[in-house]
Amino acid sequence: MTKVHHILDDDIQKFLEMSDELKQHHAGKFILIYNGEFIASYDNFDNAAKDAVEKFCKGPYLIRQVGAPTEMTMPASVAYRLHYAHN
Amino acid sequence: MPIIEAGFLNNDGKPDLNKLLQFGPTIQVVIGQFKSADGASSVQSEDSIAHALVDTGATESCIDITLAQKLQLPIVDKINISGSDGAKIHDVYMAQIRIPILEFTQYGKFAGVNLTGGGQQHKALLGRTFLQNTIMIYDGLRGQITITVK
Repeated sequence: MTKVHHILDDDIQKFLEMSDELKQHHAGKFILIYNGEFIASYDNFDNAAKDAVEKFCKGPYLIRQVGAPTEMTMPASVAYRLHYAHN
Repeated sequence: MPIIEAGFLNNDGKPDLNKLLQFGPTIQVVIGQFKSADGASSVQSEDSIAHALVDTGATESCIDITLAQKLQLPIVDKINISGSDGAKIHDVYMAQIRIPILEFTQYGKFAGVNLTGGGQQHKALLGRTFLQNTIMIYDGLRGQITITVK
């Protein structure tokens, strides 16, 4: 596991720890967390990203919308290709 | 309203139905670092011209992991992607995908997926988050795909 993954894990952990508070006070907002610390919430992704780049350049940092899904289904085009390549 | 052809032409300049069948609707895009709406606060790096698959089966747009790493796109989240082999954690990159002919840019968060490793020619998938801004006509009989944006 690289350092990048480890740091982002801390940020995600912080997001999860704050989950109840975020749902109560920041529903639908975009949250910026850096180095395991909550930085701010924003009305849209654009503002969150702009502030993140200004403050922390390439990061890594977490930008996640409160209430947004954290799972998705692998697009069939990718899943098929990967499966095909392994057989 | 600008219109783009997402099909293929053969040596005679006619629509190539076989290539369309093989590769799917494909357009040329420019992938690079995220730039805010006012163009400020971008991280300096080179952009990359690449082919993208217009994928009606994908919810979100995705970027090839190898290209994302080459462009040093910032990782801003992780997402659990479930597939035929179970669920795996993927990095999510902050980037923009620009389609110059359509004068259209999709920016934000893109899941990194292993397109190159799977033998796929495309470097990006444009999912339904892209298609919600477009009108696409798929004429399979003639091998012609046209896309325009609102």
